[in-house]
Amino acid sequence: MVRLLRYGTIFGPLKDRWRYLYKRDLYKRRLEAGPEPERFRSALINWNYDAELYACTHRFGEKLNIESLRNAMTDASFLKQIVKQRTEAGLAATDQTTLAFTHNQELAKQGKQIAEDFLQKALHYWYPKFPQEGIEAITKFLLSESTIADISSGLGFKTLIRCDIPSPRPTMLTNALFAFIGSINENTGRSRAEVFVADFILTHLVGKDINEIWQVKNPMGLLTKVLEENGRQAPESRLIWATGVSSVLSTYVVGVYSNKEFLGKSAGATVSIAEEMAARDALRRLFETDEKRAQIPFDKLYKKGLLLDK
Amino acid sequence: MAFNKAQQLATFSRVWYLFDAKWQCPHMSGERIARILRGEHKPIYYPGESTGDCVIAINTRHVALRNDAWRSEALHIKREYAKTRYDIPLFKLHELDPTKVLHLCVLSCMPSDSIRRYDMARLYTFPDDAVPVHLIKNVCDQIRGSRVIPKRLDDLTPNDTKTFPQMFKWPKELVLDDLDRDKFVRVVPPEEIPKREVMLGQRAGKQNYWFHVPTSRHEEVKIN
Amino acid sequence: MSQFLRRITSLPIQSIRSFHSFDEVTPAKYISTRLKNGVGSRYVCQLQRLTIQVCKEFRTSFGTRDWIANDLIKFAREHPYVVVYVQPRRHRAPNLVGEYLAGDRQWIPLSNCDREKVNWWIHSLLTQKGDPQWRLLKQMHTDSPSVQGIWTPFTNKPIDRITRTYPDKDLTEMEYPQITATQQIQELFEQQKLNKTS
Repeated sequence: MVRLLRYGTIFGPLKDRWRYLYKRDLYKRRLEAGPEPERFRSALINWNYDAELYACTHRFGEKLNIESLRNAMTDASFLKQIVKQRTEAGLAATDQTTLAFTHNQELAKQGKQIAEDFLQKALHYWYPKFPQEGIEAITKFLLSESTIADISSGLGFKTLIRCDIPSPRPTMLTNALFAFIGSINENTGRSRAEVFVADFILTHLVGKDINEIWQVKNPMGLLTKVLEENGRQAPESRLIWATGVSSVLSTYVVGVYSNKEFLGKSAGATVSIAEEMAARDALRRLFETDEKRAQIPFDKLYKKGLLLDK
Repeated sequence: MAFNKAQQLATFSRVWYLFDAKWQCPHMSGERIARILRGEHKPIYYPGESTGDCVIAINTRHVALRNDAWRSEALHIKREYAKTRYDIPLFKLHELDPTKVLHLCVLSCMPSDSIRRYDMARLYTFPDDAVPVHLIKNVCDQIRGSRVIPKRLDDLTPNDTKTFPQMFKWPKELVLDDLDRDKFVRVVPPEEIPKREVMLGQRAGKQNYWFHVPTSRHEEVKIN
Repeated sequence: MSQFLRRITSLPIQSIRSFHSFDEVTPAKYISTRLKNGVGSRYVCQLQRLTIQVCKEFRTSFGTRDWIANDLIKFAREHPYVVVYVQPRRHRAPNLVGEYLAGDRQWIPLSNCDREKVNWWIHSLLTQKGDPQWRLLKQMHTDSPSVQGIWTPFTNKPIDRITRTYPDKDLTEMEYPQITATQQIQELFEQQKLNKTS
């Protein structure tokens, strides 16, 4: 670490003129040099990649082959870089194919497919009345690059990935996580891979409202459609409460009814907002995804029959 | 607007209450109103949070104080300089500002912290039942009074007095004329009333009001 | 300057929390675990690698040396998910550097610590999430405060209140007033009447 405190300020005045000038010059030079360049973690002295991989397999309790894990953590850019280096060193094109490892693109594709299938299955099981469109939206959110990259960096893949830049890009992180799932599938079977998805990707839904993840543009229209499909009458909205009408903090509570049967109610600052929110509330109650609904039992998915063998 | 925002709005919305102060004791109703203004009637109440509701109090001109309080209780005013404190008896204060008594009663029921002024700003007081339309529109609930509104004798119809059960019969010896009060009482002319010395702005106490309060206008007359 | 002095003088030498002054506004958040650790069927130890910097000669690292000689192998066997690096450095103070899955780093000076204290610090790092720099807004937090529906001012309020025009005469008086003497007499009188007729 470089000390960027101005000498001669907090420790009192510097008495020697020459020392002051010397320190000031060092300070200026440090500023001119700019920030330190980012370095690979592997550039530091305390780094043993094999040990790291070994620890990684034990961290998640998976019995993985170290070589397969090494492949899963190798990004395409790393391979490209090695090939480029070899070409520059003057090696023949035939030698380039004899590399001992491959990149993780295939594994990632495989892992992503497993994750997508499992998430759809689990969500369908736990929210049977939620429409297919919504489940697809949630799956898309869970498998989006930002989510998966966040999970991947949280699982410590940031330093394990072999790529051409010190801090890997979100796509690299995403590929690494999916490839890890893929390699679990290859080593110990699909069920184990699905448990991994349930433990680390599906749990991303904790504390999130799945009705907010699926953004419905016109909730009243959707409610009408759903009621029609169920053979019920069209929804009617009624004002239940209104207070502070002429004040800034006005509150309206609007309820939605179908054939005098209560569907849902909600509050809002204006009547139109309250009506829209009431329609959303009615949808939540119809789909059985409101707050009364229990969370997905992430640790008991075996008992629910979603995962057959442990 | 997200759905949890709507829930938040519903939980923390300020409800407007109406309070009819006619024939109510301002001290007891002040306790109730202060509780509502501070939000203590809500389960979400927490001392640091502003969770109070709004209250419109009407008919404050017609509040009923206990016992002799209109005359015997006063607003003590202490100003900065020496010998400048004086009292305003409540009936005089009520003449000056008919909403002031209820206002002060509510104020005295609140703890004297810095939030008190903001809570009091949510109290709207009106001397009669004339309330601006834009305020009465907001109301969605009413606070019940703490006193039974009494029925005055001149409110009763002659039919009521007739049908009321006769509890007992007057004895024959009793002369009903003797019940007439005016026979035993003489109205004292003002020149006969003993004058008191009034000290201006000296001491708090009902003897030292800043104007003269004549109290004894009647005198008992002995009939032999 | 005074703050700086206070930091030096009053705080113990070994403290994992950094100095916090209430005059400054520091970042704060609700209590949480990284990636909802432990919600699924497994717990992931957040400590990724542990570097022990130690001197072979100086007295300051006697406890650290003891720990390495006696407990290191056992520790590594029990916790295979932590990569332990031992870094001998000549004539310098012993340090403990923990690196976490999320990329956080913890540095703890181990000067003059005995074996037990070193063990304590290592297990302290092992059981951590890794970011003590955050101030916690509250010690507890929940994302779903209620499953019965959150309370609003309108719950349990009689529904007829919205249909009335205010001021309303029915709501002015007390709900359950005491019976006055007049009313009592009238009631007694009516009872007497009934008794006489029956």
